[in-house]
Amino acid sequence: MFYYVLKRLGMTLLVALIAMVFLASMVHFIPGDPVKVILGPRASETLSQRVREEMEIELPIPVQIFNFISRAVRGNLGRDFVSGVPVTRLISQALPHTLALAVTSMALAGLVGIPLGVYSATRPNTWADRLTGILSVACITLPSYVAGLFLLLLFAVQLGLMPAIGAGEFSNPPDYLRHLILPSTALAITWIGYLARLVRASVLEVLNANYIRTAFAFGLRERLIFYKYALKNAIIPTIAIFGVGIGNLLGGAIFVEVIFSRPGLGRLIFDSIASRNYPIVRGGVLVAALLFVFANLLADLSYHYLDPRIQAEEARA
Amino acid sequence: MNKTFRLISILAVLSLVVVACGGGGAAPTEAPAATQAPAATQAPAPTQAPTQPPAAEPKILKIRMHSDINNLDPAFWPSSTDEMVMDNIGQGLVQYKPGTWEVVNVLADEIKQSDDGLTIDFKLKEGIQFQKGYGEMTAEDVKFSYERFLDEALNAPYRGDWAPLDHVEVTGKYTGQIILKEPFAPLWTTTLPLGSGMVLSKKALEELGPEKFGQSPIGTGPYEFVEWKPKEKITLKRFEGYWGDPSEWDEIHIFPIVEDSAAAVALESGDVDFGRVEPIDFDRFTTNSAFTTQAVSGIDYEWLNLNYESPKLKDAKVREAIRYAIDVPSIIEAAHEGKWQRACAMIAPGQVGYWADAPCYERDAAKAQSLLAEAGVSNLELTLTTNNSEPFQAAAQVIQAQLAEVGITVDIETVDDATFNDIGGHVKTRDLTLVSYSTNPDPSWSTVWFLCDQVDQWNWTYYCNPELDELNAQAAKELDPAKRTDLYVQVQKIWDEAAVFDWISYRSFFYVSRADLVMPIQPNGRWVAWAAHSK
Repeated sequence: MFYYVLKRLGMTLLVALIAMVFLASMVHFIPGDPVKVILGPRASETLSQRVREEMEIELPIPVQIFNFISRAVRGNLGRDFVSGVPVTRLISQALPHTLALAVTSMALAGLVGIPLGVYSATRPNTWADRLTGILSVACITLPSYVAGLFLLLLFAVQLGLMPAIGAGEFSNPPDYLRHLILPSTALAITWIGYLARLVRASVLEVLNANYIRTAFAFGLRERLIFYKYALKNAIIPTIAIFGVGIGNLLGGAIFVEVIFSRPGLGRLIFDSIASRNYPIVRGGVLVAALLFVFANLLADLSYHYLDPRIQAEEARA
Repeated sequence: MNKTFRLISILAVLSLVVVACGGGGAAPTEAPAATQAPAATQAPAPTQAPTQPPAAEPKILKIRMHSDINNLDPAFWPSSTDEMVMDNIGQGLVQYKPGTWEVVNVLADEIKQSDDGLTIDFKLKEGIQFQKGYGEMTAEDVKFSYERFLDEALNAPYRGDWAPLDHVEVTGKYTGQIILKEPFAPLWTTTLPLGSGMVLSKKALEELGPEKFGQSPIGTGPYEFVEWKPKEKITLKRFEGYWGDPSEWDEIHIFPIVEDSAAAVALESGDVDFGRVEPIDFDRFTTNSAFTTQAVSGIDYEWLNLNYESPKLKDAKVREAIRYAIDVPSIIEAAHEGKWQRACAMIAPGQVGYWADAPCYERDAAKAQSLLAEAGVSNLELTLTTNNSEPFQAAAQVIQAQLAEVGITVDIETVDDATFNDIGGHVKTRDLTLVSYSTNPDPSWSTVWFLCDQVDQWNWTYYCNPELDELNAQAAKELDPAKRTDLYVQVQKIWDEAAVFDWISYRSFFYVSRADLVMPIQPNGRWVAWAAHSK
């Protein structure tokens, strides 16, 4: 287990290094001049040139890559071209909001999608199964930004129950949670449908296993069989997709962040691409890549933890 | 199974932990209070804010802004959003009276320009305090605020606002002279009344440096800066030591909401009290008695740009043919719901330099075809470059269809803003470009981009005429508004003859506020939050 974690951490570092090299070089292939964005049209060409030199964007690409990596490993991701604020500060302000949104959405998707899948699998080919199937597919096909707008119009405008914009204050957790309900629901909807379908298929497969038939033969309660013995094995493939899901949610969060006017990493990167604010793009994407790798690592570890067969195989090896 | 539920529970708990413990990093907050700020001499006792009922909630004005701020230092601010926020914090010797183009004294008790236009004598109001304990404003602050623009090391993009400045002479604690090298008409329209004319605290700028100052500025205005949470909120609070009449709101919260439909929802839900909406959303607010609406026709201009250097457009008859082939009202209808004001020249009505008799060309497809035939051109293929905003794309499609009717094939190239504005050799290859420029209330801000020195920079017409440049230079030094207007009309006539601009519209702004709120809007469409009040 220790060596496994060590190996995965080594891979994480390698991925981070590749990401840094890629990011440092990528920005040179995008058209657009950040100096024009920063200085505006009133700046003279002399002034623009001087700022270009200060920003190091005219240094050779390998030098820029080296500078970026050597600073990044020391925790320095550079400064916002426009405001001069350190990128690490901007990311540290945005990241907790995105993490809260992604993790809450995934938890919400799990809490609703998994029982829905089990419920559906235990009543195969009944009207209830078909209804949950239709609902699940509808959820999968509903983009988060459409769901977000519907939720806003219903709960913020018509009913006035929820705030329409912002993220609330961290110092006031109930207020923060209130601001989190609609965005996380909008983001979770697709995953609720996806998890429900996935769990249904897995549970149906497990229900044909001998040990389940044995359990029925012993006269155990259905609820106990479905939710304890069947789901225990059926859930394992689902756990694996949580890692991918977190990464996916980080990407999908941007639409929700824009519609609900929430600060977050996705919106930070999106706005920075539009203004060619390279340090933020590089820093933000690097952090997102690390999060993605880390989430996958956690998913793999949990897979390892939940499936005793893997542990047994390792012990034999 | 227990492990699974444990895992799910951990996820749920983790989300709560993130919520509860996430500090969000240290946001740029209030600037450190000045140490040993000099005691104000002869400062009038600050006017007390209106007495609030005990334990009452603070009265907060919540505003939607279309994008976030970046830098509040007037020497650097990259966009109008920075300017609209800073307008609550800083003040100049003079400024525009809210909702009008009338220049009124603010920090200046008296201000007068010499007959030759080279010297401006000013006398400051006494006892005006800077926010956060930075002491009393004096003529030294005026000198510092204006002369810093000339500092090579500062790299101020708005240096041109003070280009004719020789120096500021301090003649007393509250008096001084602004000495110019040559007369400069925009001084009274855009330099002194707007950002570049703001008087900043010398002590604060020296202590904080431009970078920190840009994130936490100090001024003499009715509101002081509290906090900026990027992409989320800017908080201002009433400056209790403000020298003038206190504003109605204890705090102003400004929310950068980039998505227009989200802004409309935020207004409807009451999450914001005031904000700009798109024309498509505007109508539903005008019919709702819970809201007040204002449509302001501004001075920003939009046009179809013709590249004079393009071999396909070199013949004036071809350029004229394009002018007659397009139907401007239908472009405005498609792009802006028909709600923007049609433009027939560059300078908008109400401005010095407005060309009242400018020809408004109506569509005449037959004439366009006959001009093309005279030029001996057939099967003309052109590129039309536009940014990826929906209105521009709609306008481009209408132009494409209209030009197709006279036999011109148009290939639309859509790019994002940064690529669109990226100057360089590739811009020279563009035939037609749909462009919109924002401007300030002086014609020099509009014309400056189309001179010879801007070719390959922002002059995408690639039309260079030294005579026009000379007229423009004369106009900048002409202090008589009528004579100035004559000069700018001549400039616009030259462009009209060259047929390199097909004017489309002046940008309109559509604002919605709570029914009981009055928000002054400047004629260029910028709101003045500090002057907002309840009906």
